[in-house]
Amino acid sequence: MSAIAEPRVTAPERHDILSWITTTDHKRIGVLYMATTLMFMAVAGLLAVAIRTQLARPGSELISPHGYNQIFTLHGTAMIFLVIAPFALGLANYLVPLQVGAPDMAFPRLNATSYWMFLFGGLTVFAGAASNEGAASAGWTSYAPLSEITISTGLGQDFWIVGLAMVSVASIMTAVNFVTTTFIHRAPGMTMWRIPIFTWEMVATSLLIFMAFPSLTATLLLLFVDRRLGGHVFDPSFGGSPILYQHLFWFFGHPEVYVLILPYFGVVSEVISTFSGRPLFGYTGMVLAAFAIAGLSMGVWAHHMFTTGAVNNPFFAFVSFLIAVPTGIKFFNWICTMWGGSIRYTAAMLYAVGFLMNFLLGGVTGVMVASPPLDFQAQDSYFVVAHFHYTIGGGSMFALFAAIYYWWPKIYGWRLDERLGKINFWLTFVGFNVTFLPMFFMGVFGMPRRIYTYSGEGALPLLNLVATAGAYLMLLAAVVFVANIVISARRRDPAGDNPWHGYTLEWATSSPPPEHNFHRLPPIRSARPLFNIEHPEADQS
Amino acid sequence: MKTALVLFISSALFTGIIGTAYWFVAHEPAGTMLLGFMTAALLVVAAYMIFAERDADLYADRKDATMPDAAGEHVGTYVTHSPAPFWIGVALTGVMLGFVVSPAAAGVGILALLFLGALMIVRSR
Repeated sequence: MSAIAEPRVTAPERHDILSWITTTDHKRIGVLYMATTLMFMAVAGLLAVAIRTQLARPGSELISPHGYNQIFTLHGTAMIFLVIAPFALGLANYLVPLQVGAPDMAFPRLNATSYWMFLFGGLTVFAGAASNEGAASAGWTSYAPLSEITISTGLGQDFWIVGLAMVSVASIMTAVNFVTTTFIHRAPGMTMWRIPIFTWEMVATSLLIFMAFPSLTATLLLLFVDRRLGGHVFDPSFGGSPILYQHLFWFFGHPEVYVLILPYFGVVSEVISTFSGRPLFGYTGMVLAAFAIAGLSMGVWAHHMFTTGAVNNPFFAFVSFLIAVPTGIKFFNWICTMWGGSIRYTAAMLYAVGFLMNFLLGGVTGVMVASPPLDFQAQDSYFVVAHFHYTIGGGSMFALFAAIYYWWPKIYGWRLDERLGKINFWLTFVGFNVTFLPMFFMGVFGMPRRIYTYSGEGALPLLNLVATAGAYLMLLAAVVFVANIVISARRRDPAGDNPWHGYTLEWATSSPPPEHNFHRLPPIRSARPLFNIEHPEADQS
Repeated sequence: MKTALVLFISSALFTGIIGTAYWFVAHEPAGTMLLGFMTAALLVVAAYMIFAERDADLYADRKDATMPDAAGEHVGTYVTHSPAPFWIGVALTGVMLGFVVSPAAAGVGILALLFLGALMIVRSR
């Protein structure tokens, strides 16, 4: 071990509430991000339960049509903009400097500003529920002209627009921070081809945010101009173009899907490698596949617009199919990493394996709807709802929980209970599949999405009832997760610095890490510096 | 920095090729413009790396570098707390909500942002 001079800090570490509000420490900001997103997830999850309760039987009057529109709009908006993506940003806030051996993010104040803009932006979106006609109700895509002032007359839609604009700008600022930190603030010897796979995935994600989120900000601005300043950019009655809205929105929207999944590819790679007791198979291939996915995802936006008749379907179908190639490489590499390894089925590993199974189904059905003839049949049906939830719910959300179970001991210094964690996993896994598998069949039977009731004939009532039962099972899983945190917090079972026997740099420091991360850094001679310390005789190339 | 430069140049090349192909296949201006802007933005970053950072010599890029190699007299001074980010967030929220509910709130928010900006400049000297 080589010694490094301890960084000077301007003040001793504080733990009062004011210190959390004024913090610029990347670890605390990471924790704030993750805690905030879990709060938003709780609200969005309860909204999902409300949706499923309404749909449990045909003709239900539990929720009014307008109330239902608000609920699914807030659910989708929160899960996509305020939960899955920002949780990854929070996790990366905590981990990226640790993994590259940096004392903090490149721009700590900008980092803190990003968090507060995200929080206030998210609260603004929800604050719309208190306005004259309630929250936004035009769906998470808020297509024009549905979201124009002539149809969505309430202030809720405006709260939605300005809130998401703040979240969008905050995400761009965070992406700048990640890229700069990774490129400039790596520890000596941590060459780009030695940085951990999670950090690589965050670099790819950050590039996507750079390229895609400005389009979202511009779209929101133009929509606001239409609504409040008398513009007609998307208003067809004055020569505007709703198709332009879809182009601008999906130019952000499809890369956003990969912003939601790429960080979690990184999580799963780290978890599978550690709990298989093997280095990640095909490290270079995994990195190149991440950038191939990121690049290709910028050229597929209009596969969401096949049925408009206003886009070149063969071009977008071809590029969409191509994405399956790098994604397949990742799948093969994960399986090869596990192959022949001494696998430990911890709660984190179970969630990672659950991710593989769910995401495979989401990915395969994604290839199906990338084909225009099939998409014409599935468009706006529950088939698409099922596909999307299998990728983002069954994929990203499962990896999110894998990340929580895996890095919790590093963040807090004590473990979550493994037995409760496994119960939590099985309830979530069964609940998830019971909820969303029937939705493929609902779509095939012609049930359109975003409707508050449906026909009582055929198989739809039974399929909906089963899906609702699954949703309540997931609610139970969430209760177990909260109970696990409460029980484990009382027990505070010490974790030690490296409870899982990980080999990346974050496991080289104490749990939790000191304010500036490392008192000492080990020599970095490969992508697994801790392995080199344990096995100095091994080939370090 | 070489890897980072390759990353930005190859990304720009890729989006440039996709954008050109898209124009000739679809003749659709919105998507072509978006891909064109994206290519330009990536080239700006690449150009910055080529012209402003070409002499950058990072210890991180040396395979055999050790911590003492990079350690000077002291590693640096880090600010762990600042009230500015929170208040910038509050002021920006005021500005954005002001556009929806009341121009007066937007005005207060803009004034607060200007005050915070001036304060940060004064304190940084």
